[in-house]
Amino acid sequence: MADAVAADVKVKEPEPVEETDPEFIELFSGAALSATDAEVITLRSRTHLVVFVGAEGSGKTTVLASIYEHLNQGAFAGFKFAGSRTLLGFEEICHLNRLASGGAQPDTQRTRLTDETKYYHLALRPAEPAATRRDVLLSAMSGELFRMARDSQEDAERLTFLRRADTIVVLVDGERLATPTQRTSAQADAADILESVLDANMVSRSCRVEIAFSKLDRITAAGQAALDFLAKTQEKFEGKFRVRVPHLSFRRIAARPAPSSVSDNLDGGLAHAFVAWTTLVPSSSTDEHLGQPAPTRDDREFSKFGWRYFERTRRDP
Amino acid sequence: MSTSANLLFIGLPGSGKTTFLAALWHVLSDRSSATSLKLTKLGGDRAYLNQITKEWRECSQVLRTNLQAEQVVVLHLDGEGFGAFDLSIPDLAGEAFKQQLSDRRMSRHHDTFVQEATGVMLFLHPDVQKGTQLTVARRLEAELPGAHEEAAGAGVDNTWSPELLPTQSKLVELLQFLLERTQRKLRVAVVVSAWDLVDELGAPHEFVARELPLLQQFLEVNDELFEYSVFGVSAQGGDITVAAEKQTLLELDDALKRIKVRQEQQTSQDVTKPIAWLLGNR
Repeated sequence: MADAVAADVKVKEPEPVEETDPEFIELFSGAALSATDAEVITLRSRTHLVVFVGAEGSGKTTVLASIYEHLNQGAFAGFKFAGSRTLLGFEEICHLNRLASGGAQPDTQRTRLTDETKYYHLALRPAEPAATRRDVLLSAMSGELFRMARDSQEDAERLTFLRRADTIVVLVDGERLATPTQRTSAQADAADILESVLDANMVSRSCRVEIAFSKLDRITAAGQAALDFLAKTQEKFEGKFRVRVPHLSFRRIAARPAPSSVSDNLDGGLAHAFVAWTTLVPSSSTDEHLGQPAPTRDDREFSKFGWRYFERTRRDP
Repeated sequence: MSTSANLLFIGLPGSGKTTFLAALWHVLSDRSSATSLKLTKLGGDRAYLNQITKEWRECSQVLRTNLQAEQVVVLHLDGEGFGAFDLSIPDLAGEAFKQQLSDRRMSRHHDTFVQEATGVMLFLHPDVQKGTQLTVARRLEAELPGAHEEAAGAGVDNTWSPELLPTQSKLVELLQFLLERTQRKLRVAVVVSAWDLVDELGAPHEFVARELPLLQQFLEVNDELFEYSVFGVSAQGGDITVAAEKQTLLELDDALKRIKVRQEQQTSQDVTKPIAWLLGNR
């Protein structure tokens, strides 16, 4: 009440409405996230970070796009789609596998070695009743990035966020592995990338590392010699990396198998792979993430987004 | 329930929002059919409703709402279990939702409607842009010898843009925008318009699960954020761009017969049903 206001109390002038009340409210961009934006998600809920690394053309983005494409058709790998902050980002990398692209055969936009690594977000809910929601971040990165990180402190710092990876999938290009002139290079490239990842201190003690032989349909089509070389490669990697990588495993996948090779397994083993990639390693292992204090919240970052929706759907595992 | 309620109609251009509103006003003002909700009185400025309903009665294309002509209509309604109440429905242009998707921003004007909404009606036309994958198309071609080659490629600019988003992705994104801006659990009536085109293919929720699986999953698993039901609504009664169909519709002895509303296996002519579901038992 005006009468009750003491004479020496200054009355604050109201803020001009025009400056504080813009005509439009900004919404989230929907594009693939930068490391800073991705971090916001990880700060709000336990998020599983899966990083795909591999040489150019090894199928990193195709695997990532295929996961989203399967969800476009219904539940996938026992998960149902509960949302995404990066629908536009997913749609963009899926574009060359759409009739609307005008293409004749499925293709994937190549990962660009841009200044920043990009992350794709999925909120998922296991299909069984009363299961809680999970947030997953996926990223596809060129092996070149890790080689650069090995040589430059500045480049290494750009990968800081990636050190939180729960799963690193090293893709070995199956098509090259099935080609006699290229198979040794394909094997060496993958080994070199994993070396670089290890040298960049990307692999925490709780991190699952999986070496995935991609384009299995091409290897199978190439015959027994190609399959034998694959087995030899696996044996070689086992011997070389088992000591340095506590949670090392191997897998064969075909994220987008050719129509002629599709039989009963329509997803080319991707569903089983995705379950493994989004499962934490057994709790008996030391989890470096859990032992650390929670990261501080940066309010400036949160102000960029509402994140109310994530607040409301947050479920701790 | 309270004596006022606010609905929010959302949907892309041509999804049937205004046609639904026109049919609704015809049914309510006609008062001759059994409906869940009834008009208690006329009142307020009815010029817009009368204009769109005139077009509907004449089987003319109900003009799409443009951004400059957005209207808020207020209906004075009553119904068993509801009591008398005033229902506000802003008839928002589909273009505005399209712009939200491309510009990634919402007008403060629309945000006010979101904040005030008691319930949401999400409209979609059954002719959905599916975003068919080349992988799937090629597999079908391999499985079905003689299946025609898709006319992909011919003269199509292969540059990606948000315009190319499949319908299901667009609708999920529009719902995510709503969730971003509101703290309440939302009740959502999904209305598949022009239902006569797809009625023979199963119940409305089956249509959504089959044609828009991403949207169906999103609605189903976010049960702490949404309560939803799917309706098939044929508000026009047929394809009025086809002269013979239009003539048949005009010759009906009662325009109410043009309307068909389906929820699960139940079909009626009660176009107020989705609204009654949205507002019921609150």
